Amino acid sequence: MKITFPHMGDAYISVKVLLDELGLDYYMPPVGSHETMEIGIANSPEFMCLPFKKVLGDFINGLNNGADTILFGESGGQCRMSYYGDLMQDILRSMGYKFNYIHFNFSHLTYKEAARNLGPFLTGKSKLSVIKAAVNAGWTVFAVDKLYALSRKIRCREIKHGTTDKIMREFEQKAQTVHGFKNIHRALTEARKELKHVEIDKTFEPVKIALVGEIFISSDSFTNLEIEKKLGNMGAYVHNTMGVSEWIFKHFIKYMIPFNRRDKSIEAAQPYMHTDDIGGHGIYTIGNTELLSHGSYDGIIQIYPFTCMPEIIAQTTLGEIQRKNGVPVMTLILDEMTGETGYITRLEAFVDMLRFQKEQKYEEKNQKEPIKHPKLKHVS
Amino acid sequence: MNQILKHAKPQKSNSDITVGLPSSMMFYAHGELWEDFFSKLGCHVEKSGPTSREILNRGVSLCSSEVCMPVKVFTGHVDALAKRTDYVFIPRYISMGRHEMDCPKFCGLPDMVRINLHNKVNLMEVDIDFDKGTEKTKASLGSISNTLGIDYETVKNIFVNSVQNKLDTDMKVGSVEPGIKNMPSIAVLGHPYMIYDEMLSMGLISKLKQKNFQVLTPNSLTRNVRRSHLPIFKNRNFYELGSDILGSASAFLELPQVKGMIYLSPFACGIDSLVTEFIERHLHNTEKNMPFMKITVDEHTGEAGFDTRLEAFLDMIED
Ligand code: SF4
Ligand code: SF4
Repeated sequence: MKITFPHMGDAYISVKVLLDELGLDYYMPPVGSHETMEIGIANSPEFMCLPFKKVLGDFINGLNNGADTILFGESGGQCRMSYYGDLMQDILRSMGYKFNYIHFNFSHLTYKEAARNLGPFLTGKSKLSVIKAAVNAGWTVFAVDKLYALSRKIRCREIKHGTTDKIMREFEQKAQTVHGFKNIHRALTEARKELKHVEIDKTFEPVKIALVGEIFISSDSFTNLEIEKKLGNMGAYVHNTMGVSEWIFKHFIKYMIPFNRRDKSIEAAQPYMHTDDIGGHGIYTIGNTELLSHGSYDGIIQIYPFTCMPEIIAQTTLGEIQRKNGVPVMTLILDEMTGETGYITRLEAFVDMLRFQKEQKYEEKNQKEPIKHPKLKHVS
Repeated sequence: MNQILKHAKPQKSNSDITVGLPSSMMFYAHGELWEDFFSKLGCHVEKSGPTSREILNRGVSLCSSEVCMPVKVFTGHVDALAKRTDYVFIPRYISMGRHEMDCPKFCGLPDMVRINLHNKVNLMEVDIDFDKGTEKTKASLGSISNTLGIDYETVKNIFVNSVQNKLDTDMKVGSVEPGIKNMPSIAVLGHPYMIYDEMLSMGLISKLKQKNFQVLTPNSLTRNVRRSHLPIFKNRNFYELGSDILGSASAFLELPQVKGMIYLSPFACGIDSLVTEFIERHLHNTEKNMPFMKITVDEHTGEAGFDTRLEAFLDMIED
């Protein structure tokens, strides 16, 4: 039995830890491969959302490389994601593939269900070793997330252009090739140490941008055309509201904790959307935009794949939030045809506009009381 | 001063209150039930009538371009009513029954419309989320009772009799059109607000009738038939409209008089991207060789091109 699994951003690092620690045989599709993406697109219905096409591409690649078992997790709900599995299995079977399909709905995942699904893989393994593998994988999710968060802080302030990218590229290469929790742990620690030693301009004040939107695209740097890196290298600090850890937290950990308080961002969305759920993570897009547009960020970027229903609904409200709170919101809709050049132009124009606004704000303040003018222009 | 003015304003009695019902989206399925509901509450009911070019254009100009055409058209209908009614009614359909759910856009519809009309419309809404229960519905009936000044129990009873019970029977039986005749037929598939809207469907149903075809739609079958023929998602949560169409398509395969199927889909509809794919796969798997055509329309679709495709399809069937 050989397992394969689809990519979503940096989730592969933790999945690898889990499978390695359990001692299971698996094949991981290449990270960020245009070729697998193309195969996915070619075999998907035209109007399915982009995440579907990418995941299908990964599955085909996995099955072509000796895998016979597909592992897929989703968070359920009123959106198409819940039906990805049904359609994909059908497509793959009619392409002639034979395989085992294991589906996890993280919103309802119980130990029993996990054990039933993974049962055949876990024979002969002690409960303790299984729990240990799960804990290590869980730790990795959050550690990876923290590393990327740190890289976003450093990148926009680095003095030597490209240093952060280089460290992160090396880390990613290691994460893809080394095996086992210990080695991943070491790679993480090293990368963190190196990032902390990057020389930064402490007086530089970057424009701050919060990223909201559909979770797959937001957290998948390949499909979002490396938006975090691009903005960071333009001298903008990016906060991504939709990381993989966020997803695990919302759909898995929260579900297991009996203490059930309404999410802060769902609360914040209520003036605009009088309901708790509009499918996918649409309600969080609205809530986070509202929460983060009261001065803590200079601009908001919503990002989603073409035809994404929850985000189209959310987009309707963002104009209203922008009008009310006065923070610029830009929406980026991605599909397989999105060109890099036009994309960069839009990002640059947005960052320039935010920087201009921020400078003006400082000038206004300066006239009232002389303060030290922070450096807003990027150094390199 | 404000206080005095407020009191000085003559209290409207309910028969003076006009409630607007947009003749679009799910009003093709449940319009009569809601009309009955508001009439029994003593309100004057006003409908926006068939979609016109003006309504369509207005909707397009009010919404962002990403929104699907039916939501744009719906917004146009609400806009038309906003000026001549006191309230416009928009139900928030989340789920119509056990294992049924609705397109996410139905869940956000009242809010999308309110914002696209710049908050310049008084909305009334009823939330329907029957997969989870009736709690949300009760809360929204409560605010209708406040708005109209009618006690909650009365509102609830009228709702149960006019809407809920009928929805229940609809969920169980389904409306049946007068018996299906044994004559050459075309099955027209799609959401009710696509296939029954003369404007959006470019008169597809009348055009087929003119050519002497019997036209069958999901409404020609009972709900039982539609559900029992589902090739997938039996007893699992799926989109209600999706199940209706999927089940119908597979039921029509068994009727020898059905010569072909036409699926009318709005551009980039998320639900249809799944449903049309499942139908095509099912047709393929059953090896029935049923002619199937998917026509995608948006606000820019020209009638001439539409007619040409239709002619070509019918020619192929008649050969
Ligand atoms: S949230 Fe958007 S991208 Fe994700 S499954 Fe739903 S429609 Fe597709
Ligand atoms: S089902 Fe399709 S057409 Fe209808 S509201 Fe949803 S996305 Fe729009």
